[in-house]
Amino acid sequence: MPTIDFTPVFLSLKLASLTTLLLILMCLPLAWHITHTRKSVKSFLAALSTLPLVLPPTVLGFYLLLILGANGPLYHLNLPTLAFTFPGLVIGSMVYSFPFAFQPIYNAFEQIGKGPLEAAAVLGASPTDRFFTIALPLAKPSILTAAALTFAHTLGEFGVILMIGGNIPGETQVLSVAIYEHVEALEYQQAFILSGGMMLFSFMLLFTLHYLQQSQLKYNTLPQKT
Amino acid sequence: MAINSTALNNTTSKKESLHIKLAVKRDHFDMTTELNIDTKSITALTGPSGSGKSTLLRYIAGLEPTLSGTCLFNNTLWQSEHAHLPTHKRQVGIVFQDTQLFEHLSVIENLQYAEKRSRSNAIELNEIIDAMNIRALSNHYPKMLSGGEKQRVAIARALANNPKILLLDEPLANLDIESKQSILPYLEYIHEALQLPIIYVSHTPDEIARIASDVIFLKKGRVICQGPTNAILTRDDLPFAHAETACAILQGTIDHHDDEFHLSSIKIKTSNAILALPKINKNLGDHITIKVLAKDVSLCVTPPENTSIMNCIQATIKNYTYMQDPSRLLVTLALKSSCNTNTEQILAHITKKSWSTLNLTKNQEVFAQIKSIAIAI
Repeated sequence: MPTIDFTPVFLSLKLASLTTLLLILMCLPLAWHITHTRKSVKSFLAALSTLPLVLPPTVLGFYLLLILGANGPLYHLNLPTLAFTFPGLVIGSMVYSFPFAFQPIYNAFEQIGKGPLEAAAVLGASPTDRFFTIALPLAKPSILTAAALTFAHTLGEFGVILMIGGNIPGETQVLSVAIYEHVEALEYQQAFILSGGMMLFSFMLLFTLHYLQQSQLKYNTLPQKT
Repeated sequence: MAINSTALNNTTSKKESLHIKLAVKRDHFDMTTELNIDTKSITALTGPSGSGKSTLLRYIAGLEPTLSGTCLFNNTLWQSEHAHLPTHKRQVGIVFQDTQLFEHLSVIENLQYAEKRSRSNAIELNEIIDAMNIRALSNHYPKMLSGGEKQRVAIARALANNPKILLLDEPLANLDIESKQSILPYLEYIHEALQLPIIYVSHTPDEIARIASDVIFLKKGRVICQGPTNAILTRDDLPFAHAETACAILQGTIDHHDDEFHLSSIKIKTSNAILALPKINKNLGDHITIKVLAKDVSLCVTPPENTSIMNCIQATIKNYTYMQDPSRLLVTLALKSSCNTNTEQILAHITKKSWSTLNLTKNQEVFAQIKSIAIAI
């Protein structure tokens, strides 16, 4: 049995959890705001938000490296440069996985429409009240989907990480990079164990979320009348 | 269906009114309206589709903040060029055509949502649940309910919020006849027991005749006419009088009961006319509203004899108009008044042939025979 360093696994989980949490918290108010803006502004923001989806990860990674790197604007503003650090990875992942968090939430808010919110307003609910008691619960299944997709997508991220994070063990060497390393070194057994573990874990995660979503849908089905 | 109504009367019995001035210009829509709605009564808002009925209702609720106009409720400014009181501070209740129940909440949670945000507790939630007969549905989710059940829950939710005025946007439009019949009594009950002003959007003359005391007729965003229900329903320049179900709504009091033949006599307000109906379970002097269908009215020039039709009243022909059916005429009749003011009108759909055979003319005095009379409320 070969010795395997499991640090990259925990680093990957930490990165994916943190990215998911921050992205969901960011996308909720953002998507809400865009849903209630004018149509022309909407298209512009929607296009911008899907951009990371169509660009190759290396292009994204390259720009992020320029911004976060040693000679980038952060350096000139006397801020700590973030390239090749864990916080840098988090920022990179957030940009890279942004569409996966944003789109489901945005679509859910669009789909809810004005109706239920107007009904709540008539009943005396303030805009904040409406967001928390109507919009959020109705969008809950989509928020779960967004979280699952973001988590899985960040876990499988490779190109962006390599560009801005490099391969520093314990700091930026995440699972996907570690597997690549093992393969390069012809350590197929280690690569196999890590890959298999990741696949199993990802499947379990997605399975759990889909299962939760199904039980969330109780009010969308037609149970027997009593 | 018993709500303790005495406690509620105090808060709403004073004269309330809603003044609206609207000027809206959109593509193909030009609305300039000035309205005074007496909110003691059920006011029906009617007119062809696209006439601005729903827009007006949404404006009152504050859901059209960009429309220019003035909205004054009980001397409180709700909306003007410079001010807009947000919907959630207006204390209005709306029942939408598509109910807009919250699908993530059960029936009881929907009601509690409204109750929690209510600014007075004049009406008890439990009483509303019993009045609307929805206790058995408490734990159901909206998707499990039938159309009629949804509307009852939606009405209950609006009431649980203790609104100052209830706006109903075609609440019965999506329902089958049976469900409609089951909802109407609830609306009448709400108005009577809770003394809650109601504005009701509908284009069904039957519904209007049954529950509204005043009618506003809109067309292309303009108020064509406004007045008591019977005056509007019997106007021959509006579509109601031409419909197959055209009718007149008369107010009266119970004059006496005839136990031998099981009949009740109704004295019609502002006229001397007395009409007999199958016995009604009400006390002498009680108020009653009756409905006379235009097709049940026939005309005679002399007092009819040897007829099985009991009800025959004196009236004057006010006007006659052609109907879509070329064989028929619409005749407007004014009942002989007891006080020379506000004569009530009824309608008669008769054939052109009878009109010419009887040599009828405008302002002629005739006897109107009424085949059957229905109790409207």
